[in-house]
Amino acid sequence: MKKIPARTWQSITIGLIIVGVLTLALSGLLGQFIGKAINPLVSVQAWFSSRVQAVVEFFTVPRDVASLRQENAVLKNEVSQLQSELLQVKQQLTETDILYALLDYARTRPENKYVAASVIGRDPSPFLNYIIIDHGSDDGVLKGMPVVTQQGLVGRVAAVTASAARIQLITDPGSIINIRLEEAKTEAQVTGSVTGDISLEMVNPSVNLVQGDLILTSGLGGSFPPDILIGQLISPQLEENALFQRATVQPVVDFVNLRAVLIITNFKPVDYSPLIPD
Amino acid sequence: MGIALAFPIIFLLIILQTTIAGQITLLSGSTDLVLLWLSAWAIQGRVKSAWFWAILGGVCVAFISAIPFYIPIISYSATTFFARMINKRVWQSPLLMMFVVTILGSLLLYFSSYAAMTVNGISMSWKTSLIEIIIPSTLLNLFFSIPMYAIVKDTAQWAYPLEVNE
Repeated sequence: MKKIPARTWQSITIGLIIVGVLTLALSGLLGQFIGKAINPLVSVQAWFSSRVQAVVEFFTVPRDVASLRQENAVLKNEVSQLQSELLQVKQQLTETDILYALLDYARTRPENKYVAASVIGRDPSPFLNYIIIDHGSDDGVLKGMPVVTQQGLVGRVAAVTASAARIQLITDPGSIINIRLEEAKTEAQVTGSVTGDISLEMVNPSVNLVQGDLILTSGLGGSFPPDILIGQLISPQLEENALFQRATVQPVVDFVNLRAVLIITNFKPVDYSPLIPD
Repeated sequence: MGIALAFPIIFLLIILQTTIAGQITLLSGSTDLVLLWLSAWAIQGRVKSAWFWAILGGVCVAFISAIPFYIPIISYSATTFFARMINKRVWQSPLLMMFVVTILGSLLLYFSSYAAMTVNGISMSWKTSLIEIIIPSTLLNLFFSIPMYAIVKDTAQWAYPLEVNE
């Protein structure tokens, strides 16, 4: 019997293996077989990969934190800028509202000429109620001119420089204004005080004072135009044997939050000093 | 240096006084930042220009305020005089000295203001002025004298550094 050469056996073995593999592949068993063979490799790969990832993160994450912090700082800066802009816009809106209100008031009294001014300060002395405004003689503001807001009478110009003026408020202790009471149809005076309150003085005791009565300038004395609203009468006080009645007055102007005023520039106060005997 | 520094600081104090400090009130009283600064400045032993500061402060406030012009000039000068006088006696306790000068200066300023306005024909209740303005303003001045002293002390050290003898 002829001996089969070794090379032939090798070829047969390879052929059988190929046929086996093909049979396994065609029968669907090859995938399971490969899976079982590869699983340990995948586990090793996964373990190695996780360790490599940890090492990579160790070096890269601190850089990410630094960049995030930087980005956070930039965003915070942007937010603060936007907040600042928002505040500015709100401020401008408030100023616009005030100016619109003043403009509306000026339109209701077209016979007067006005100069609008912002309040930039208050008198340093606590005894006095004066404000400082940002318009002066360069803008046509003169001493003695009446000052109003859309709500009512504020005071009068007490001193003027080229670019600023000092206004004596009606709440100043040195302020005396001739007024008339709308309902009571009588005339009297409103005076200021050191506390900033205003009170009604020199009212005839026979006059029936009504709470809530409107107080307007009378125009007497020539210091103010007539019919500018000052406030409302609150609590009349008639002391026994007193020569005059008194009452506290609620001013219509909010003097604490006064931001802008109107100066009536076409009103010239009457200078009656030559009439006063020496 | 001290004289050159007087102009910006006095102007800054007056701006703060007319805008912010006037809004911080106790009853109807308010603090006087110029008075506080001048008091603290004058009790600094190394300061040599205290009289100039007092006159400048008085003139500036007189220009801004409707109060008779001589009141701030006299009051601030007198406060500086008190401070200089006391400085030579109770120098060991500077904060106590600041309190004493603040009280004396405040009372002098407010009583003289009241007197001047009354003389000028402005009717003011004595009791109301005392309770609503003079006492609250003096208390506010005392309260603000502590931070003001610290600021002025640092400014004086910066403006008049001590000379080191080797």
